This record gives sequence, structure tokens and C-alpha cells, in this order.
Amino acid sequence: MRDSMRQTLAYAALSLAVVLAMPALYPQVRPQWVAFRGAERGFAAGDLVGAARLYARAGASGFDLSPVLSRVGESYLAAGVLDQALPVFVALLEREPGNLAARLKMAELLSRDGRHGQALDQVDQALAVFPAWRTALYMRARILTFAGRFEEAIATYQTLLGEQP
Amino acid sequence: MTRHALALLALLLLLSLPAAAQPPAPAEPPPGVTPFGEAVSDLQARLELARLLSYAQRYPESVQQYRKVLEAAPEHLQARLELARVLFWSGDAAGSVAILERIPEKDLSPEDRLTLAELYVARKDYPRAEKLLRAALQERPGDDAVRFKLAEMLSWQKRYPESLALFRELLSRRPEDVQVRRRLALILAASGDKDAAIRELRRSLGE
Repeated sequence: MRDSMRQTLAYAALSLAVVLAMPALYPQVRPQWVAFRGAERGFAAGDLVGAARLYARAGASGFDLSPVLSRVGESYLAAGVLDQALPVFVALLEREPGNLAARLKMAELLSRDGRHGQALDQVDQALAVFPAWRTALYMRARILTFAGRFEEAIATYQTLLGEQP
Repeated sequence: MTRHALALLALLLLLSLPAAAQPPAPAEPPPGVTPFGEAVSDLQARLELARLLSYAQRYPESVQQYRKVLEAAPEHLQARLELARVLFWSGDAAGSVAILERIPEKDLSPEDRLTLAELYVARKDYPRAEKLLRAALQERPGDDAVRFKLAEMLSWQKRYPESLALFRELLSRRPEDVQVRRRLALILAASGDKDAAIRELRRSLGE
């Protein structure tokens, strides 16, 4: 009886130790999952800069980020790590060429990188599908402004506002 | 006859295949895309249009767009300030002053205060200009452009000792500035100290 009680207590102590050690051990065993979940939580909470850091960490440790490319790209873009964001958007648009939201994000990225001509190509592809899309028109006007093409930008703003250029 | 009808049907089916193979066109653009992190509002777009028109020196159109912005949002501080500047650039100093004077001074940026000071100078309203320039200098003691402007304005009012003090202060900060030294020489001459003026002019010529 005493032995059995001792054994039960030993098992209970062991189980408790395992339960207590788990939160500390898990990040050591599955760091990529911890980083990924943190990134997803950060993204959902709007902390895109923090999410970008954690997505990068998850990706660096071999985690497959392909199902969440748009969130990864958006986070990198918000964090200003354009060199990391670019391949993400390239991969995303290869997989989903009709993803116009991603196309506009790509345009933003290219424009922020000073590649205004390529950025305009992306916006124009979106406008070819939806010629009166306000978001795309606005983006076109901003990019033309950044490129110093003021007269074209003015005409685009006027189109957006429903005024005669 | 039946064979022909079947052949026609088959042909129609074949012709319709490429169209059927196309993915259906999306009905409307995806929501929630905010270019450069900003929502697209008419007000914002119009403000940017007004700004661009001013960069392109199309001032009357720019003014018109700013006025439309202010019709929609009469208290839009940025639009009021920018409209005042555009009016100033387009030569409507009175309109510009009228707008700037209605804006509480605490809401004016140092640049706006300088614009207002310049407008007062242009109208020879020196006391108001001086007040603004001295406040700007207190705020940014290292701003030599303001110091120069104030020194110039004081000299126009023949307040030579104050003007000279500011020019000397300027020169102590930028001893190599030949133009400031020549200006100091001119004011010394105007104040009657011709020897000092000659000395400064010689120094400005490297003698």
C-alpha cells in the first residue's frame, strides 16, 4: 500500500514537472511555431512591424509561410523591409495573378522603392479590370506625383473626383 | 437534318469553350486596400489635387480646389494654411493675410509665421512683422535666415543700433559670409559710421 502510494505520488510529481516545464521547453523544441503564432497574433492586433519580425524568424527557421503570403508581405511592407517584401509579393502574384489587392500592394512597394514606372504598370493592370476603382486611381495619382509627373497626376485626381481633366 | 443540327450544336459548344475556360470577371474590386496606409476620401484627394496644382503653378485652379475643401471642412487647418500660401504666391497678399490672421497663432508653424511676417513686411506693417520674427527667433535661436530678415527690417526703419547688433551676431556665427559683411557695411554707412563701413568692406574684399 505504501509502495503504491509512493509510486502514485512519484507519477503525480513527474506529471506536474512536465506540465510546468512544457511552456519553457516548447519554444526550444518548436521555435518556428512560436514565432509564427506570435506573428499571426501581432498581425491580427495590427502590430505589423512586430509581426514582420516574427514572420521573418519563423521563415528563417524553415517554417512554410506560403499559405499566409499576403499577411507576410503586408507586414514586411509596413515594417519597411522592402527587400524582404518584394519576393513575397512576387511569389504571391505568381500564384494568384488575379489578386488585385496584392497587385496594389506590390505597386506601393515598387513606388516606395523608387521604381515608379513598374509601380504604375501594376496599378494599370488593376485599372484594366476596374477602370473606376477609386483606390487604384488614388494610388496612380500618388505614384505619378512621386515620379514628378504632376500634370498626369492632376488629370488622375480629377478623374477620381469626377471632374473634367 | 438531325446530323446537321448536331454538328451545329457541337460547333457552338466548341466555340463557347474558350469563353467558359476564362475565370469569371470579379464583380467588384477587393475591399480594404488602403494605398500608402491612407483611406481614399474625396477631401484628401481634393487637398492633394489642390497642392499639386500649386506645384504646377496653376494657382487659380489650386485656389478653387482649396476653397472646395474648405466648403466641405471649413475648419481644415492644413487647407487654410496652404490656401494662404498659394494666395501669397499668386500675388494676393491681402487674401493670404486675411486667412492667416484668422488662424490662432499657436496653430501656425514657424514657416507659416515667417510667411505671415513676410506679408506684414510687404504691407509695411513692421510692428506685427517684428513681433512674429522675434517670436520665431526665440523659438529657433539658430535660424540665421530669420535673424537676417529681422536685421534687414530694422535697418529699413532706421533702427540702426538694433540692426547692427543683429548683423554682428550673424557675423560672429558666420565670419566668412561676405554678403552679410557687405550688408553690415552698408548699414554702418547709413548710420554715419563711414570708417567702420570702409573697414568692413575692405575685409569683405579680403584686404
